[in-house]
Amino acid sequence: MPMTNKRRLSVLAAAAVAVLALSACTGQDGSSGGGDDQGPRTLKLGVSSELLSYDPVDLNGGGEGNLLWMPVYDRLLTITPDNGLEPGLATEWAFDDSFSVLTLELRDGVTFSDGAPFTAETVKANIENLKASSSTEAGIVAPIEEVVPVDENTVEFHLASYDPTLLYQLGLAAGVMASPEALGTEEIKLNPVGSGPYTLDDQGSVRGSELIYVKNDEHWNSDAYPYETLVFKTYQDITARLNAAKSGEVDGAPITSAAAAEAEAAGLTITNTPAGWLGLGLFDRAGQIAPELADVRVRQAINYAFDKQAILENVEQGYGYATSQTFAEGQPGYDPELDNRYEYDPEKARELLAEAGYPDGFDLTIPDLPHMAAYTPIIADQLKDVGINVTIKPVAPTDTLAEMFGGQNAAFAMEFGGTSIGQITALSTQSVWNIFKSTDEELSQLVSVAYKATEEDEQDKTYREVNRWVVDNAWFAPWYMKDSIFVTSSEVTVEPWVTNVTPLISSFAPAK
Amino acid sequence: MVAFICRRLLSGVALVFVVSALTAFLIFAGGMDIARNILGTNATEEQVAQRAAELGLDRPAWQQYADWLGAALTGDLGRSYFSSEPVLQALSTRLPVTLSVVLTAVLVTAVLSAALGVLAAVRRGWVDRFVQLANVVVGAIPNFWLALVLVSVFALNLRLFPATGYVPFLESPAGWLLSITLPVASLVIGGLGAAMIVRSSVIDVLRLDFVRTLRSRGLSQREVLTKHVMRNAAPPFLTVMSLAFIGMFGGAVVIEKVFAIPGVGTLANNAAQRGDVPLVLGVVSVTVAVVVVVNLVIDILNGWLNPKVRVQ
Amino acid sequence: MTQPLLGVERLGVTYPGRGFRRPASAVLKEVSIEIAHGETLGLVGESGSGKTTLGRAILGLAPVTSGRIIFDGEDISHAGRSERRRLAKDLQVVFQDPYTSLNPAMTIESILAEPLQAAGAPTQEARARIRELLDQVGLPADAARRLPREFSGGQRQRVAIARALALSPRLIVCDEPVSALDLSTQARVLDLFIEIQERTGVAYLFVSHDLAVIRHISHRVAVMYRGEIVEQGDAELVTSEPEHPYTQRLLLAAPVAHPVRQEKRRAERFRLRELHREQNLQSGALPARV
Repeated sequence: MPMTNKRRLSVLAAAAVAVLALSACTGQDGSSGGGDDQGPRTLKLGVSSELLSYDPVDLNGGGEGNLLWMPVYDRLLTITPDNGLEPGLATEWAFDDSFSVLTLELRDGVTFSDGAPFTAETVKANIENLKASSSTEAGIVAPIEEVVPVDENTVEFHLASYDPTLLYQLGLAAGVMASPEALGTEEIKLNPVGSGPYTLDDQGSVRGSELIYVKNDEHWNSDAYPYETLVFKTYQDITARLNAAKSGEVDGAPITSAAAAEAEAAGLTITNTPAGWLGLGLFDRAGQIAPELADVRVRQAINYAFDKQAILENVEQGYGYATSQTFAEGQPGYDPELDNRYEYDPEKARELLAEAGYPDGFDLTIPDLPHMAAYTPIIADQLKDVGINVTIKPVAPTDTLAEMFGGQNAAFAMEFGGTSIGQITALSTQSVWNIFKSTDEELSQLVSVAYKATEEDEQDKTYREVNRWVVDNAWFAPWYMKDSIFVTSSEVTVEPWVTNVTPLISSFAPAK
Repeated sequence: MVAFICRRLLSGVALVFVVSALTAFLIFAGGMDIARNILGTNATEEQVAQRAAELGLDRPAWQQYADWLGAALTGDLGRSYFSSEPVLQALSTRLPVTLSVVLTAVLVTAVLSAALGVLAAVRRGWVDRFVQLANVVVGAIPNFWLALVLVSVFALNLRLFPATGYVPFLESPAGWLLSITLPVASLVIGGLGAAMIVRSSVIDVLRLDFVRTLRSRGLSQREVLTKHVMRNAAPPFLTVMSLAFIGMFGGAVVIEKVFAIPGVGTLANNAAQRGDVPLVLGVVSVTVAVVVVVNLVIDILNGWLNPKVRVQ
Repeated sequence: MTQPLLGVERLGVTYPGRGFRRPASAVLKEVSIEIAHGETLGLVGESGSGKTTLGRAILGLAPVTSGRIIFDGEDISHAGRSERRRLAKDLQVVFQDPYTSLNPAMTIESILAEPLQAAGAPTQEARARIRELLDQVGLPADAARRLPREFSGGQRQRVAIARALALSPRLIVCDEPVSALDLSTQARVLDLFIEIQERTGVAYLFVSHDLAVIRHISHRVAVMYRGEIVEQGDAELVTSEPEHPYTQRLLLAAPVAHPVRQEKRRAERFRLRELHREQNLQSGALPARV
């Protein structure tokens, strides 16, 4: 009947009008761009990926993840922004003379968020749990043969072999201490049970989108953390992340070099620090599949072939500095002279190739790794210029790891971050990054000396020896040290964490 | 009617089976090393094999799917391989977010395109030409680009709306509305092509003799439109709306990314990239179910508005 | 002389040209007709002659640019919406296509109730009237609950007639109401028209291109050609001894069920067309489009 039609239509119309009216009126008073609703002592940071699990065995050392789990978990040692070590849950630490026992004095009176106390037994439980897991970090604690609680607040690590990176790693994921009760449960993946300066607000958080941490006033170093609340928002898309920073919805976020100019124009503060080196890894140093690479002159020629500064300017917008070494500026072992060791010189490259017996160049196959796809054509182009004919091999995303670490490629584009000691351990035949298990007696000698260096001066000197050897022998062809870029609003000050993508959470402070 | 609904629901269930089976097949056939993804680049082969065995990833694909299906039929969608979050819980936090954006967008699209389409059909002349031109222009704009422009104008410059994020309705209705305005607008503008469907079907109906009869009796344009024309023009419009719903559900993946909205689109996208099988299958199945239900609702609405298409 | 029910005086309808500087097209030129109470005026002509436009002009569906339309002594050439509403009681329409003349989304009851409700009839009364109307047009009472698509073309046309009759009008404009129906249905629907007229005294303006139909139903016949009435008069006379060559041709075009006579007619028609063309050329008109 017509009357009922009319009624139905007017209901629809009324609903539509209501929606429009509501949007119109809220549109007017919605002038705030976001920001202050959670109090002045709230720090909001944007990140690009979510933290999938709080299980200590699922945590790992590098990248952005640190920012997300470090607030809730204390480690045995604390890392400083310049990669130094400070007391954490361990207040003192020392190796014995033979570097086979590491003794840790533990902090007294620490409790976990579930009320359990932190003791030497806790350390034993955590290290053993990690060792037994299929975690990435299990390899780091593998040399710890036995964890021996000496008393309530003293623990000894009995080492099967000495690893100079162990102490540093105890400041990262391998040193995370969680309540023994929670270890190995499904629950800890979702809810961390640590003793960190903050605790997770499980109710307020939306997994994969927004994590909220509330300050733990009981924490032994509470004063070092000025914010009452931390909010981490996930923005996978760089544009969304940048927009969130520009609109003040977050106080800080990591961005890409391509977005840096826009961020700067919007009045954001840019903090950049060398995060790692980028270039071509020359792995087949014994010439197993690419015989030409066995000749050091060929590897040096490849180093000369790249116009490092031009690549840096074009691809990274100049965020970084051109170099021929893998050690970052300001880190132990860095040698300023090595930055220019292989300054761009295609003529020199051709001469070296001729000397090595390849006046007409040779053929080299490079895999087109999906995550380094931007660099593959550059490599082909630059090497062709000195006579090396590059064949680009397509790589499916699912085959990336096999192509990289399976020993199928003599050389490929790589990006490698981390500390100076990380650069050194990557040379070891144990490392996945030493793909063809290259060895050299002289290098091994230099490395073993460097491993035992514990004092700063001594480290700098011995690392420098290793560094110089690796550069001279052209084990890699680095182009530049690439910066990580973090933007912050005027509300916040931050100190970068050298060699890392994001700053440490303790480095943020409200601007005066 | 009841039989019709049952039949449609049954075919919907069948569709869920087929789509989830296909999805499972695609994941497993992709040869993705899921255990390796979970453990990262530094894990040894032994560790990877151990984790694969723990998760049952070393068994044949059909067996894994059958296990999932068996559990799913009892209401257990399992837990994420990566975060261990129950899939149902993940869906219950994500799906309402996407639905609130998409359904609002569909509703606004329906109202606007109906209004514009009727206006163009009735007024013709410059209004009609404007609507047609706008339709072509709008149809050529990609969703994400539009979203970026909207953010830069209305969020970053005018500061009227937040640039990113989502506020749940229960937390703050006004905040919710502000947070979904730009995402909804980017979806709606792309969906306004439906106005052209309304326009042509209204024009078709206006040409019919029964409309002339009504006019000859002095009925006003408004009466003719609301009482007699709209119902007849509704079926193609509702069909387009149900397609728009599906399209917007798909488009939400992009929109959620640009606006950093924690919806089911980003969840599915991430899960698929990682090879989080339980999560992917859960999202896919529930999404298909939602689409089936919405289409059913639209069909019923269609029959209610217009007996011409009512099922016997 | 008693006043006619409908008088059309020197009516002109011109549609504005579509698009820029397109000339306006005159569809009706100086058309004058009269219809008395209870009378059927057959309006015949080929398609495009303007006969449908004349019907629409009377119903207010075509723009009147000159002349007058007088219904029951009142000038309705430019009647507004409220006047049309009032007129609807006396003036109704039945269209050609039974498939588009009924709202497919409504039941027969709603379709028939619509004019009654618009006229303010109470629901009970409207129900009774609907039963009566269905009975009048020879449809079963249970038709009310059904939808138009459940009926054949002839049945639908009966519904359309019932709707036109709902308010007991005095004039119904019938725009080719049987053209879309097959021959036997045509005959039954035409008889229904005649029967209704005899019972209710309604007048018809009966538009058709089919001279046989017109002859069957009309009292008087007007012949329309290119927007003008070329011949008008008693139905018997006009359809048997037409004066105007166009009418003669129309008459000859009507099918005859006899091969020899048809052959003869065809020759006659050709001759007349030639003659007609000559006349047109002499009068400066364009050649006839046949």
